[in-house]
Amino acid sequence: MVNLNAVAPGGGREYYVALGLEGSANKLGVGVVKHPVVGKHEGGDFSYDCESQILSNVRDTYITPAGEGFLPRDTARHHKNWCVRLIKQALEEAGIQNAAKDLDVICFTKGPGMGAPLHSVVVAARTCSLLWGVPLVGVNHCVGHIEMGREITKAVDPVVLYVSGGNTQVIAYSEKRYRIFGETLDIAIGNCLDRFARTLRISNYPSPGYNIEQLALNCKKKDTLLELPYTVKGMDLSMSGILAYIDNLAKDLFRDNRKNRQLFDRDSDEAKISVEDLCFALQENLFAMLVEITERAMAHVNSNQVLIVGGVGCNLRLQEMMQQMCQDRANGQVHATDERFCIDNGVMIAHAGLLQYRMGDFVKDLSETVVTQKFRTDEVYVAWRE
Amino acid sequence: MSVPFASYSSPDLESHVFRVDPTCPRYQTTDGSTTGPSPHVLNAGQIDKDRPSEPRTDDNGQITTLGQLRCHLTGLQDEINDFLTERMEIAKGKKTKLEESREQRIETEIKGLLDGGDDNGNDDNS
Amino acid sequence: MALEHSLDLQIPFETPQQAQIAVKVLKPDPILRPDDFEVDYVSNGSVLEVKFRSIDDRVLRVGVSSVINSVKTVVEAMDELS
Repeated sequence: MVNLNAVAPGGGREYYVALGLEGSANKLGVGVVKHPVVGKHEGGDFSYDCESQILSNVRDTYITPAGEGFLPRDTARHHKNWCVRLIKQALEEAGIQNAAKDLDVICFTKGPGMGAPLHSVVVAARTCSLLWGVPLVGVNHCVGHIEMGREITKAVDPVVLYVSGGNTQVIAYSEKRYRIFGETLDIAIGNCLDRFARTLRISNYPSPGYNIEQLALNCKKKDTLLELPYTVKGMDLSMSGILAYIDNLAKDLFRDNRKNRQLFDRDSDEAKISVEDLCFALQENLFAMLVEITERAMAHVNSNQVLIVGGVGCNLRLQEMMQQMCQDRANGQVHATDERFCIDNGVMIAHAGLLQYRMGDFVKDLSETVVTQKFRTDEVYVAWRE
Repeated sequence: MSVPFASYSSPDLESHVFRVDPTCPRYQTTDGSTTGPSPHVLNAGQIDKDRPSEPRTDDNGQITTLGQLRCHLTGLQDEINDFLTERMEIAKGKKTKLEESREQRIETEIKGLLDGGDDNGNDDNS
Repeated sequence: MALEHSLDLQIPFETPQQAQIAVKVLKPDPILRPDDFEVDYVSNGSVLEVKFRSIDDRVLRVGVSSVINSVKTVVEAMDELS
């Protein structure tokens, strides 16, 4: 039986408070979350309903010029230079006057992600832990997304679609693990969208994916969808070929290569396809693939709930397509969160880390805090669920 | 509190000492000359919004002791980086060539440290 | 090949506790391959002493700068957050 109240909160408080630090990619997020001690958590699977209160959720994103991706060393520099300021701001907004007394735990992202940026953040986390005498918990980034999504949407046992710049996975819980049912065989969906945005040389602010979504909304030919390769492989999918294909189309369009009859009209030589049409086609194609593998996973585990997490999960068109599929399947539901929680943030690390801490799992020796680029979702023992 | 100090030695140079001079501008800033954005993004038009925070000041407007330490470290880091870069250039001219495989391995290793050894360093990964 | 390029760094903190914290924060992480680069951290009173030994100046530069970056974060956190 899961008992989430096994470890008492510090200072005789009736609630736990966790600080969470996230920096596995180009977002640096710091958040403070509070869990009240609730009787029902002593026995039973209530980890989706911690009655969390978000005391602060601050974020700063490293943005590169249009056409450029983010290099690990520059991203790490961003995190190093902002980390302490953001921690200070998050504590202030949360009304934490005395971190040593008011915090139960400091949670940081252990992986997966980019090595140098992860390292920049853990250095600050360790320093705070030693300064304040507050224990550390290392959190799997993907598990952070899943638990935050469950807490916000109250989805009890959903099939999880985790879609971001670094990850594309369909996940379902079974016997103390988040098991991966399907995933990308090459690049992540967010990476595919980001790289196409670079080819188009559109702004990386607020995010490349958001700008593609806006362009796609302005597609005038939604009924004559440009055909792209469709590459679902069983439960998995592949996206690098699609990216190469649409990159070439975009380049031909910019180069005004009229020999490309997919783009230019045979008779009039005029462009039949716009950048907006390309964005629309890319989204429709990629999202259809995601919907297909998600539906198959739902059939496997006999579930009618989907939870979409990760940065790409804010995309309203993806949510809409998933909703359509779920409705067709025995009144299913789609759960998603907005950009505060979808996009990488510190609160999700604080929340998932606090679940871990409440089960008695925290760092005993700093050698356990070395960050790791590869850290699969199913490596985590999910002690807090039945 | 005294100031940081460093000393270097190698087979061809018995000793080189780095001393912090608190009156020199190099030791009065947290924004080092060798720790800025990479040339690549600057060439692509990056405007640097991610400079380090200013050193902390107390109620009297004085920079705190640890704030000063940050500045001293920043200057010392620049001194050391400049010095070693210069020596690398000289070494390049002399070509005390390490065997190629070793050279390549070290290259990978450095990339691993700076970029976290990502398979595709230029890719987004959020 | 011997690690004949070396740099010794001394960083004075305000208190021995601060120097000890710095050692604990820095120690866990591998920097570069031990064949090419070694680093050792000790606290001596309130001074953090770091000894770097490396195969050449280029590796030394990368390793030293990376460690100083981390120390700057540690110092900033101590100054702003304690």
